[in-house]
Amino acid sequence: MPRLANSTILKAYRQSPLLPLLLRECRTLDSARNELRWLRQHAIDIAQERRERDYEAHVAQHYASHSEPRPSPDDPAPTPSSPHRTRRIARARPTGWRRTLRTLCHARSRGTPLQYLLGDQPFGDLTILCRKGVLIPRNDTESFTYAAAEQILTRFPPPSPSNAVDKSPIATATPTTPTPAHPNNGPLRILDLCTGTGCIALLLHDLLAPSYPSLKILGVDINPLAIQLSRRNLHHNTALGWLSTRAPAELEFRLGDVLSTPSSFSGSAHNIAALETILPQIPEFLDPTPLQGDSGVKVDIIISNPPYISREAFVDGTTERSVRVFEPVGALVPPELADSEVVAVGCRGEDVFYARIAGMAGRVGARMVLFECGDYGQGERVMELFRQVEGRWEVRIWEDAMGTEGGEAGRRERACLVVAKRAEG
Amino acid sequence: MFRALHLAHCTNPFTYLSYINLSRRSFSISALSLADKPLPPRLKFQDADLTISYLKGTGPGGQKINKTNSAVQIIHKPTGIVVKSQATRSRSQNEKYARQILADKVEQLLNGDNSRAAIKADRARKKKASKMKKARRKYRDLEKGQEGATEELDNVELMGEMDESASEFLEHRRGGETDVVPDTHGQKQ
Repeated sequence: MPRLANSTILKAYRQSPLLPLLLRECRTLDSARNELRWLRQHAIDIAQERRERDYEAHVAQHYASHSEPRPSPDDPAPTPSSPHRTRRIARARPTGWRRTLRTLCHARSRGTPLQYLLGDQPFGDLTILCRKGVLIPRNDTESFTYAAAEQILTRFPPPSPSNAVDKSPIATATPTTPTPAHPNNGPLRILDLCTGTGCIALLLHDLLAPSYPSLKILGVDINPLAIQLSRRNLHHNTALGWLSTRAPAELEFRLGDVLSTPSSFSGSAHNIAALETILPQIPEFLDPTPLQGDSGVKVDIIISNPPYISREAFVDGTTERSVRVFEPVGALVPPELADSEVVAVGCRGEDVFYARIAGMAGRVGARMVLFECGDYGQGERVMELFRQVEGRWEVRIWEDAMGTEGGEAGRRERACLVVAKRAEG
Repeated sequence: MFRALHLAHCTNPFTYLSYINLSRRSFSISALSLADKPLPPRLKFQDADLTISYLKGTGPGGQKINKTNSAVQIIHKPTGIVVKSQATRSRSQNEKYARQILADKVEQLLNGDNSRAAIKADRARKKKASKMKKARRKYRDLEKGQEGATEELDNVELMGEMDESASEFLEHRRGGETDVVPDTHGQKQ
């Protein structure tokens, strides 16, 4: 990381004494100024909340000590003070916000991610709550989720009335002939593996709910904190009205281990159910017409943003310090696998999730698999994986229509989205 | 719920401005008549004319880094106008703002003084001028005699929470030390 110029630090200090603190993590004056603005607003919000709480406590104490009957909350004038006075209290900026802001800036200068300090991250039109111990949703993932929704709309054309809505240029350019999605009129079944905050599942529901009359999205994660947070996110966004009222019924988050199979379960150290034991528990995912030797479960789409950083890349400087220190390692680097039952021998350590999910996709009848991969090299290895598993898959790396700056070398280092479609017949 | 309200009002610069304008209108008659005339509609763009980019850097991305920058840049290809927005943390919000700014800029290029942005700026200028004029008149009358001063003070007290600072200012003003025209609306915020 290049050293900050003294002139930059001085310039920042002249604008605000707190800016040099933020510069340590932001590195550019522009982004430091933005972060200071957001942190400042957050500090004022916190102070305001604190004041409202104190005021409530004060009022409660007042009525307790004076033994008067407390007026009901919908009473127009609950306090004896003059209207002028109460209005001035509500308008003035709460005290103590400067101290809060300074604390926040010091935490940020030590590398704490901004999203953990502010408590949320915008994701599409949703607001995803964040907390320490769960990976923060990334900008790249946001773009990929939009792309995934577009791909799903092309591959599984929604029933006729809303069909006209989908007029994107990509939709007409795809060579595969779309087949009707639901001969049995059941919901479109989507499985989001390693869901974390639940961001992909929630945004997919937001994007797909207007087109499909019925959906079922299951998010699975091994981390109990993540499952707790994803459920909170579901209720948070539904309460704010960002998600449709269908969401609580159509989205589900379950604790589960993607890498272990029921047979390897007995040997595993923790007590978390394997993916195969969870899927039949969801009524919508049961296959109405199970074939002999089939798993008895039916899923249409699998989407996943699993841990994909290799052990080497985690420590060699390509992974940002703030990510390495403050975000959960389990969400970034896949675990070392001892048994070769789950994943074929010769698979690289960072690819185990892809190998496991690709191997499972055919068995649960998935017709489309979408993966976020760390770089183009990994994306190509994943494409190779699909050639080895059963079924004919048509795999490609999704290209951003907006084009990229920075040339071929810079592009290959970036994250990418791999789209695999099962060839019909 | 409190946070939600704040999101809806304060982080969106456009709603915030219009909210202030609304609260100001009640005080001035001239502003009312100005606002009654509808503004010309905002320009709509063909998506093919725009290049929207999210300004990502090169090098590793995805889980390896955690950028908070969500700036959106839009290029209007026919005119070559470039706008950038990083007002909020949300990419979709930034895109909305960038589109609005771009619409104003392109329209100004096309329509000049008859454009939406030009009309808005003109109204704001007129409103400010009339406000200054009124304030000047008010304090000129005040200086003329005690009679005028008490009358004004009554008016000020009607305005509720402004009473203290305004009377303080008046006392200060009677000392005849300063020539500053008070921006009463500014103090209210």
